[in-house]
Amino acid sequence: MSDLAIDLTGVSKNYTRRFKKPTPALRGVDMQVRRGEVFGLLGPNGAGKSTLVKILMTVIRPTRCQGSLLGHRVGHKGTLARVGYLPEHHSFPGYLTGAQVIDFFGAMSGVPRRERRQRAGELLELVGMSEWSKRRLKSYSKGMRQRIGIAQALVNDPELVLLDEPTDGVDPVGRRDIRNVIERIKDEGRTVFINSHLLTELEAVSDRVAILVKGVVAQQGTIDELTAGQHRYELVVGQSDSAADLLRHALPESTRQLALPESESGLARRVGFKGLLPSGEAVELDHNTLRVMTEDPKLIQPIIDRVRASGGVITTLRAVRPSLEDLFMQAVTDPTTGATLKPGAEEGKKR
Amino acid sequence: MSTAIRQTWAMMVDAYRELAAGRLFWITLALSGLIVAIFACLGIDKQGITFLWFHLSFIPITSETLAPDLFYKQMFLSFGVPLWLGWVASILALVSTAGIIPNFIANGSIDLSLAKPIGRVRLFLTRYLSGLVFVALQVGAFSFACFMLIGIRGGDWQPRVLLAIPVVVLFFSYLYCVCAFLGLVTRSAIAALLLTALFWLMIIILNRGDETLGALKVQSELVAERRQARVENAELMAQNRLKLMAENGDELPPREEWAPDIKTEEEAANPLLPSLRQSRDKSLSTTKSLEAWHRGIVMAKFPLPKTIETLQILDRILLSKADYDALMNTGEDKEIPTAFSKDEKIDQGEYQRRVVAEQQGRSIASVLGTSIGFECVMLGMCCFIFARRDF
Repeated sequence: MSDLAIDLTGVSKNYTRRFKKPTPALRGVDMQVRRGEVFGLLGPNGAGKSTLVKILMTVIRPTRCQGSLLGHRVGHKGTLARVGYLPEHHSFPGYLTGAQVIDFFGAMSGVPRRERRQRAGELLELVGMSEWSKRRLKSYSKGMRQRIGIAQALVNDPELVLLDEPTDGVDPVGRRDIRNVIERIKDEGRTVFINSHLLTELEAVSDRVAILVKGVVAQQGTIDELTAGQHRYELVVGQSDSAADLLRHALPESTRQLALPESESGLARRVGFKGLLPSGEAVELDHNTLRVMTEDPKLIQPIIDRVRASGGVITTLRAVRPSLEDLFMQAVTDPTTGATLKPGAEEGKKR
Repeated sequence: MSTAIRQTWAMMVDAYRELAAGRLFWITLALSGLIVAIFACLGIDKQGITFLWFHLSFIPITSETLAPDLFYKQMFLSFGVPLWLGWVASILALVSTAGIIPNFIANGSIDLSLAKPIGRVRLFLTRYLSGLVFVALQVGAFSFACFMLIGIRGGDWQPRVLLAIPVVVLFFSYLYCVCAFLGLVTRSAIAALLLTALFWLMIIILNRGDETLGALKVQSELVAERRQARVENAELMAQNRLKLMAENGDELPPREEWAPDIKTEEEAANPLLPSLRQSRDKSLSTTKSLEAWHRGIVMAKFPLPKTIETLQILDRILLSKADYDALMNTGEDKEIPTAFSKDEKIDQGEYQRRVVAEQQGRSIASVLGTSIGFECVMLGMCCFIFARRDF
């Protein structure tokens, strides 16, 4: 048995409309999700996240797709009995009660009646909806429907659970509960694939993430892997007109000489520059803040000493680990212009 | 229980829950109950038809002309099936079920169903069949109540009454498959409902055309037969006269003195013959022309579902020849005027017998075969679209 729950190569999808040019949604997605991990998929609006999930769940037919889902080709209907799915913007019938929704989708997944009954009780308990199980969904809040949605995704005891925006419309308490549920699912050995905009939520639960931009995977890996080399120390001295000069002089002479002109540093009209330490680490000066791109605290000690020797008052010194949001923003920002990319998977004519 | 059966059963139960959650289901059921109650209040005895303890003396039918069992069967076949089930309940059912396919394929709803281990074609067809649950339940309740009524009040326990369930469900399915197709294409319940109503109207117009032209053709045939009989009678009279004249040595007037329309000695012997022959030829020509038009309508109807004929299958199943004869002999007027001439009358019983024979001349196999064929084509197109569409 492969240790990959999802293994995709070159998945592409073009939406075609009569008499119109095909619109690309995915342009060759390569993605691997390991068994037993929580995998987060993120990307800006129109990046193709939901299209990818729908292709996995056979809701959409791909233009091209090589790969497997739980060891079978993508599109194999029988495999879906082992997959749980919560779609984005789902709409459960309002005439059903919470328990009936779980029972119905369990039956559709082929779960025997007795097992459905037993699991429905457990799942309602898990998502905190036991007391509401006999009331019709039309009386539920959005958060309650979302909880029922998660419960129905688990009724078939799935090996893989795909959750598309699971915390959509859920209040902070509900989000925490859903996060706990996801952790419990993971503890049970299931693979969880989450598509979400809420980066902090994803960061809290994901083992690995992929960032989808313009229909292709821009980055994929653990957060540590993706942020490797992006850890930094930030040093802030008291706010004064001379703060920037003080920090500039605290840097080694060679760094000052190597510093790029302001116009090329991207900090035009601001007090600062970008340069390199003799050991090769990048430094960035921005007003009264100096950023040293390193994980090694020893490298910033001489700078601190020189600032203090010059009479500077260090107000803040912190080790900064890039967040998922930083990674996300990096992925969706044009490095040359600094502008965020426009929604959709079509390549822009000119950035 | 296999997964397929489990899924099918779950979808059927869900369809029932969906319909039972709507008021229209219960309103239709209540109206069915009311109609059966009205049927139950009607009775027939030697003095005539009764409603509760009142005699409806203006209706000239008694138990001597129409047996009680036939009276109730006829109420079921003339009002219960075509008017209530075939019209009002069908309209209510269409209104109730028009949204089933559009709601099913709506965003957020279809995703979950497609993400289950069930093929798209089976998913669509099961959903389609589950939409027929409404009609099956309504017709089932109504037919069972009528079966009990005919048994208790008419003394005739006819399990064949329950054949109304598959027949009416089949009739409704002709319309519902069009509604499902339109719902799938337009994704709108209102559009599907209105366009299905238009389709139904077109079928009704064709059916009315078929019935009317069929009836006119029968009338014209009967008129032509009567006129032919008159011609034959006149010819016989002419021959007799010619024979008598020959025996007596009399002669016809010279040919120059004959009226312009008289061509033969026979006509000269009976001057009414030319006009009678002309009148007969005219009706034969009318019959021919009506036959051609009727054939055209029948051909236009051929690929379409046979709604009325499907419901009339029940008449064939439930009424024996003796029942037909009894029903046709209840009228007092034996002669009725035709649509061509008020003065020229035809035999009512014969006319009705021929109209029924005309209707029943179309075999059940051809009625059901072409209708089910139409339904299969519609469902085939639905499955093709549903299987290929990205949701």
